[in-house]
Amino acid sequence: MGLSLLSGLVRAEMKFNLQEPATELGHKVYDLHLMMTIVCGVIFVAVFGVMFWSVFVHRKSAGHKAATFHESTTVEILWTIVPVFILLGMAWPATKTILAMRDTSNPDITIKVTGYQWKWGYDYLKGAGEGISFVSNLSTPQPQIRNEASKGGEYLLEVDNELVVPVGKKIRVLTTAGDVIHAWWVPALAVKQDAIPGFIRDTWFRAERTGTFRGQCAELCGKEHGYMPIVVKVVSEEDYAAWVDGKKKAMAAAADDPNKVYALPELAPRGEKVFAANCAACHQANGKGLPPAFPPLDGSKVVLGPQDEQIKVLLNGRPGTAMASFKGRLSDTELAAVITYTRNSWSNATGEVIQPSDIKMARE
Amino acid sequence: MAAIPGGADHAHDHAHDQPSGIMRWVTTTNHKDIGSMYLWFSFAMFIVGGIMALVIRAELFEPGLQVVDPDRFNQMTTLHGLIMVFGAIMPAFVGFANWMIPLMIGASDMAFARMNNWSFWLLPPAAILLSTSLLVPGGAAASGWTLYPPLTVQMGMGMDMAIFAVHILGISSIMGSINIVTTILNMRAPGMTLMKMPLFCWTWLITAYLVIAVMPVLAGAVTMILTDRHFGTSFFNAAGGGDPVLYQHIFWFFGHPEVYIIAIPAFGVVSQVIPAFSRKPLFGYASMVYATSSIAILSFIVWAHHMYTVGMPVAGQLYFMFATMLIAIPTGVKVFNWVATMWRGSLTFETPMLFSIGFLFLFTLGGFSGLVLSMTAVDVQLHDTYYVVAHFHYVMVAGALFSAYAGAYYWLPKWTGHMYDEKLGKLHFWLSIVFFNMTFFVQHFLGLAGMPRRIPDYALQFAEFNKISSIGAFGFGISQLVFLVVALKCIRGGAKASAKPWDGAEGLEWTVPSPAPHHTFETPPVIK
Amino acid sequence: MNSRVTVMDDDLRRRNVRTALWLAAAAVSVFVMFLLRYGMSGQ
Repeated sequence: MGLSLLSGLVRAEMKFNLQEPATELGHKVYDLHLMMTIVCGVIFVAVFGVMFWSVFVHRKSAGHKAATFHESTTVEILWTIVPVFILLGMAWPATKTILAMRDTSNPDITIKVTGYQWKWGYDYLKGAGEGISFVSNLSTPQPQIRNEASKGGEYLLEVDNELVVPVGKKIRVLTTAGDVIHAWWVPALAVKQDAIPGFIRDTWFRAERTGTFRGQCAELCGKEHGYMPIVVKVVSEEDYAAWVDGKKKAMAAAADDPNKVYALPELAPRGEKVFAANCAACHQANGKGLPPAFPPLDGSKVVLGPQDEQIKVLLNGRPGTAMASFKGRLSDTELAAVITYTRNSWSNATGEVIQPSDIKMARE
Repeated sequence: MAAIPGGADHAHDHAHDQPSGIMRWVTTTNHKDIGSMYLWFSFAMFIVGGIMALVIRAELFEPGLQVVDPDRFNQMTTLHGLIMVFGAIMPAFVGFANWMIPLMIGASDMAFARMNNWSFWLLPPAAILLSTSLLVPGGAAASGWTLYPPLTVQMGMGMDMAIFAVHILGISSIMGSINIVTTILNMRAPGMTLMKMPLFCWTWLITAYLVIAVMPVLAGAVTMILTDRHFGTSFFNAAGGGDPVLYQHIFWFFGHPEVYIIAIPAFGVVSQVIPAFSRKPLFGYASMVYATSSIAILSFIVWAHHMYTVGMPVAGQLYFMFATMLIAIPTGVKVFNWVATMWRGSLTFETPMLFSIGFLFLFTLGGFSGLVLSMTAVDVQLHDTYYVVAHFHYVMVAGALFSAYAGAYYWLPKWTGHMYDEKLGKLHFWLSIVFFNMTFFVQHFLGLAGMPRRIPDYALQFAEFNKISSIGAFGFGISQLVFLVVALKCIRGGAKASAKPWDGAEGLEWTVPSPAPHHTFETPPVIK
Repeated sequence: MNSRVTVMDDDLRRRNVRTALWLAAAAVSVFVMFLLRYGMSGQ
């Protein structure tokens, strides 16, 4: 154990301070923190210098006789007043930084970030890229987490769809959540904002250099709280335009015709993908769930029962449990696919195919 | 004041009608027995909560999942927090209060001896509810000790058990506090004016008022969660017109004073110990009383500094930042007073003094990281990271726990009539302080580098510090067993302690023999 | 319950009870104010 600790220390690129900031505000926060740490450090050394002086000099074993003084109005007033001025000196830069931090006016691009258990949804609402919308999931494979494969360099900080933004533009981030409270946090961009279900909060950043910046959900949101990272890729304006173009084309190509009638072999594989991304964290890939909090779907009465009931559960969720509403998160086709998949997988074999039009009807 | 007519005659009537064996402890109304039970209970809970902490640190020893699954991990962090706060630290100081306050003010017992018994015996059922909630289907509450909704609404019945446990613990501590306030206000010996009381009594008087003011708020908050869970209300459910952030406001209106409910009695203990081993009266007694009161009052108006990232208006953030920074002033006054008490004293370094100096040094460090966190813009970066975890463990462990040890070593001779093993005591101190810093100092760096709290698994750049922290935690945990050995040895025997084993100690508790007889001050002493 | 409760004169006992009732009333009123504030807000 000692040896592995030592080798760890040698390998160490140990970090003792905040991450290298990539925004102007980040630099302000970095400097503010540094200033506070230094001022506190100086006071600490001064106060405990006095104390340790006393410990070494005024000890009984060194023959020191105790004095009898026990108050001094002058000294007491002095050490009440002096800290007030030190604090005022600290409050000034701190106030300026807060005012800058909270100014979300005049953004170039507005992006809505929605926290779900346990993934992030991104919707580009305004500015270049308007209309783009996708979900971002952890892409670290399970075997790495279960120590069955060696861990990659970006272990737990990698996602399938990164948030892409142009450099030098003011990005306003609106946060909200679909189930419980999450927090959207990217340390290098100096943003952290709680994502609260039913409410919209905002924050902003303007990246001053290109690069990939990684963060995590910062508010305990349940079982997989440690597994919902955030990756922001800051690119040049040209690259951004190209990405928007590509993303829009891909979205158009992937758009489903809501009136199409599917056959089972076509819909089930699609459903498996939707299941893996949205359901498997709780109900597990093998459909056995994690009872009693997360019930099994394999052999479930709901899944094998009338279709309408199951559609209702997916659309509305089950209030008071971890089962969320997927009304706004999945399209008619995706919902039809995943329900079809659950009704025809593991030991379930209803042979039924749910069509997107069924979902559409249930929505109304 | 508090004259007892013919006290001595009455006392002998009852001297031998006590039940023996277990019934003595179940039915006792004696403040010393109840104090001892509180202390043993809190130590037992400290071990239980500590084992949970070790499960957490074992899981975090390396990246990847090894020991527990994420759900169990969250249950561990939740119960560790609840048990340490409500089961270990608070009852420990109530134990000190029960034992020492009547002895310090020259009262024969607490004001309400039977209620005192009841306050204690409510604790074990609450502890059983909390610990057995791990075994019920769905497991224990896994939403962090802060119990934020809507996550709490998703939990299984373990959550309800935690809520009932909090209710019971709240009732117990309110009753205990009423008892303490009444005792201090009405039962002081003749001549013992408020401003002559030992500072420990002052700190408990202030703390008890805090408990009475905020415990009902916590009870209300968790009751609202309970009705949201089972009776269809939507206090914290946005879909029903409620507001999840409302809970956080209510919780921290309780939660911030709670921090001082834990810290202020710790200040009191240290204010007894430092003068005793400096052989010099406490510097600035009156300013200590005023500083403690200001801290208590300020603690009511700073709660939202725990919520800088919820998106409150910028004016709110500024106000809470300024108010929080203000607390540094009375806290600074206290630290300066303690250092000035040591200055030009005649210092010796027995174990209680070592723990007090450790407290002073590390609690101040925790205070400074608190000042850093009070800066809204910095806090937004550090909120919900390991920096915060490091900060509050400096305040809770190096602050409250070290102070409790200082008090325990200081008064063990009075409680048991024997001197404790000084060598083992010192060993306990040095092991504790080394492993404590090994565990928690590195967590500052983890938080700065961006590691969120309450995660069972982490990215590779956090591996080194987590490994160091985990090794430290196991070292710290094992070192605490040294205290158990010292305490047991001291109860069973050792050098006889005189009535006043510490030559610099002051106060009425040192005028009664050691061990303190079952009944003391039946005739109140007169203080000149 | 154990009969061995410390002796106390009636005057002190009454005073103690009065103090305790005030404190209990304070705790209860905090709780009641709470219920009025949030319990009656249309939930």
